[in-house]
Amino acid sequence: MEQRITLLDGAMGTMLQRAGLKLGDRPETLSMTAPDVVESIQRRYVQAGTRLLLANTFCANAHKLDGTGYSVDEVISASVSVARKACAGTEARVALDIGPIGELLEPLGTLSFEEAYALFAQMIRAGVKAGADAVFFETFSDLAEIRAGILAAKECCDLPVYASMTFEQSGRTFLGVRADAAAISLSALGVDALGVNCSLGPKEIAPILRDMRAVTDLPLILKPNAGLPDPATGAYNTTPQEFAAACADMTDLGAAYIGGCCGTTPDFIAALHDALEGKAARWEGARLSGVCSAREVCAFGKGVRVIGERINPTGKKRFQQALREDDMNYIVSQAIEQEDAGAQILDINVGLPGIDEPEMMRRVVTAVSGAVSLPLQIDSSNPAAIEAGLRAAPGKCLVNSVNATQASLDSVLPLVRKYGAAVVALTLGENGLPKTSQERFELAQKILAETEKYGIPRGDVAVDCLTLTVSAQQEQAAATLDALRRVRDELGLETVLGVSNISFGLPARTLVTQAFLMQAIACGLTMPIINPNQREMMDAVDACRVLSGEDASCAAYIERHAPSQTNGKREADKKDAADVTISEAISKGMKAEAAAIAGKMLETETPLDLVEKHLIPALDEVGERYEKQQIFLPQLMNAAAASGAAFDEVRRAIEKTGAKGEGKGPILLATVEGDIHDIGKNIVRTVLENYGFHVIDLGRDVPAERVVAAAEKHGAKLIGLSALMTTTVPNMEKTIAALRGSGLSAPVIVGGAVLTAEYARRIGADYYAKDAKQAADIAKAILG
Amino acid sequence: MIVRLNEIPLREALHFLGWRGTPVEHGLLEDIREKARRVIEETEPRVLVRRFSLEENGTLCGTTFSPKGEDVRRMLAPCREVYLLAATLGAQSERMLLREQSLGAAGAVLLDAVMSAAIETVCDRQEERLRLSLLEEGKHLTDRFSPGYGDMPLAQTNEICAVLQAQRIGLMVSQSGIMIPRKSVTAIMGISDAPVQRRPSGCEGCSAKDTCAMRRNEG
Repeated sequence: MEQRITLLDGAMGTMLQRAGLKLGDRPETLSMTAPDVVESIQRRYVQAGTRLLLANTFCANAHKLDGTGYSVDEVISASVSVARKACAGTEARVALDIGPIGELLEPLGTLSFEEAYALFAQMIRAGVKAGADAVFFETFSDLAEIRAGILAAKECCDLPVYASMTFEQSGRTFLGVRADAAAISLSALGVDALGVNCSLGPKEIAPILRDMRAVTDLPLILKPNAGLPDPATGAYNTTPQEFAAACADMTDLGAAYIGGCCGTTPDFIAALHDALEGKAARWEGARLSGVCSAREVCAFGKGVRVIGERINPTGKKRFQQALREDDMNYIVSQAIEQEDAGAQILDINVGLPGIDEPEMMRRVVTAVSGAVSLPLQIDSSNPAAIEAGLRAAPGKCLVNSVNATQASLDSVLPLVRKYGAAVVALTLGENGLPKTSQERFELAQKILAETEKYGIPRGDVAVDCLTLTVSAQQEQAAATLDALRRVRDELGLETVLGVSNISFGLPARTLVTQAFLMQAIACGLTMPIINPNQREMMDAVDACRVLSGEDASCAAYIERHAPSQTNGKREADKKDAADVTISEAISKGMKAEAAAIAGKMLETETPLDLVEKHLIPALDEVGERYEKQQIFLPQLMNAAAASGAAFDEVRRAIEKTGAKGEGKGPILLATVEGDIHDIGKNIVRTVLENYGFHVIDLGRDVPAERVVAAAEKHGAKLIGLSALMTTTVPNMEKTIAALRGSGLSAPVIVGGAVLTAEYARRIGADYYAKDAKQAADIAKAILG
Repeated sequence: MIVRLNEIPLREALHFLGWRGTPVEHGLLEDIREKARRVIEETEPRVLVRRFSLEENGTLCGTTFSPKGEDVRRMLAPCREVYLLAATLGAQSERMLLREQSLGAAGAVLLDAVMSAAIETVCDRQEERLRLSLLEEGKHLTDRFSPGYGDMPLAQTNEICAVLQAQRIGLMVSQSGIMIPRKSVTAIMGISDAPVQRRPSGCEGCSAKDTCAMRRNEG
């Protein structure tokens, strides 16, 4: 591929500071207060050769302009018009420059994806109105944030979109985004060019650009700093000529948009102009088939890729409860468990009657993406939920699934195309389940033809030949395997199969499932959807990888299956449960022992007796020792965890009798809007739960409306709110007012480092608890 | 900008856990040690420091920033220059906390305390380096003073971050004024020609000393 090189500009901040800009001031407002200064700098760039000039709009978003007295429209309109003047008489074009908002997005931060989207959309609309010729995103380190911006640009205008991120020498951004994952994800959204700016000099950027080149066919953006800064003086170490020569070397990687970032001046751009005279960008490149998160890339066509199936409420009571109660901790723990067990892609299915599936999909995808690194498979039959997942997931996802019915093709494929996702094609047609391998094969062909109409790359289509239950339709197992073989051999496509359904209704299911998994892999299955926590399944995958040669020198197999030294020791560490009493086990935080002893005691005592005569007194004693400062927080927590294990036994015993094992309550907990300091609330949750209360934890940064809605929905008997900072305590007051305003009378208990009993009263709380022990005492007094 | 953390003092982590000298079982200490190992291995602490002259009116030269509050003004009275500092354990610390939290609060409490000790250590080391390098110039460093100490408004965190462009180390301030990653610090330190009276170490110099749950018993 070949393209004329477009020269960008150099640093704006560096130049403005030289012209007297004060640190802490918003450089963008200079377009209003000192337009001549901005224009003269920009004119020097245009005279030096810049042909795509970035307007002085980097941080002209509503949050950053707040307090300056200027609106987004005013600043962008003025900045674009200044840039226009600087370009006068040349063919140079003006791009709306967009940098990061300056706040961290959920789930690590508090800015939501949709808020970020709205801030960018406002800038883009203003830029279009002001007559910008392109939209240029730069200096992003968060893939989620730049995705929000690109989606806003794609949905609000028809201008070309350029996207550049900032990497460290490690090849990752400081949020951990890999260069290849960034390139895959940005290509998927249909940007016109992508690349790297800031942070490093041209020499250090070269390997990062190479990583990008390996996975995309798009032209690349190159905007390095003037080398690396001297730690003592802050001065950059590269001359304009060295800089230009190093940049010119990257035109054969496809660097087609070249300029400078921090420390570069019009002299650097002039040097670039000389060095690039008569040169064009030339490159070979293809898009990678596969999926990615911000931090992991999972390429297709390289062997078996395990898709973890556990994030799915079907037939799982505990998971259903988590969805109904918004218990993200539980859902995320399921993701972590699968990642640790060796899953490479996580299936996300949150479909449950009574749940707002698109909203839940958004929440779960966001929460899971924060805690695990794996790419996601968005699994839903609801196109709105699929779209919600595709928007929220930072990376390129797999969509599960489209089938061969026209209705499905028409609703799902446009989404796959828009978000640049990969897709699972289910061999299910207008006539329902196929009977033969031939029917399956024909349906696969039909879907493939449709995906080609949408321009979805063949390598991103994976066919699911459908697993049916062998005990009910025995001949279908062979039909599935045969279809798999044909899809692999004749169509050369990736294949997906939900494996465990095969053994439904049979005894010793694992055996049949494992055998089917191995046969399917032998027939060409590349992406089994399995429970990676089931050792037999992962063992089968390990063995198949050895036999196919994917696991070179059997290295991974040996590492996982060599006899371990530690197992015997762990057994030896276990104490004999008979030696300790339940109260000792709890006070010493011995979880396994506490559960074992409780189980034994339940053979002779009623669950209620065990709770009232043993567990509660043991916990009370621990609480008292904590209050007297004879033990400290971790010891209290460990004791709580041990009694929690005993309570689980109690719950199980109660459920066996057919009654509901739920504790007293529910008690609703939330860390208020704007605050992410939730460690105190989490401690309270643990202690309350281990006193046997039913706790619904709404998490952190919870808006008042969500607290009210949840309190109504679950009929909360007690509501606990936490806030750590003086700046977020007002939101606690707001939340209490909202609860009272909606007529809810459940008592409110508050806590947090800067609160006092007096202040708690003033903001309308019913109780103040200084620590988890007090919170539990109050809950006991209210709920018994 | 990236600094290497070799060790996290366990006593400091214990302090953040509210420990008051009672016996600590071996298993718990091992858990804390293990968390400290992971924090050292997985996080990449980053620091930004910049030196500024002070104008007559207390504003930092070339900036819009002027420290507010009697306490910090008193500390800076003998100084004609200051250092501004921003430090963070980085986004990975938030991710580690999220993960640990979803696996249970007991572990998260330990990790949180270890990380608090870690960021304090990062700042202490940096302060010590500056203190020593000033000795070569015959100058002296005051205490490290952060927004929220004494009567210095918490909202000035945002101003320090803006002046230092703290987003360059991944330190951001949310709309409600909290630093994210949580394990971050901003501070100001005065540079004086004459030796300066430092705050009593520990809790005596703090205006919250009568009510603070973290107050140390020593002294």
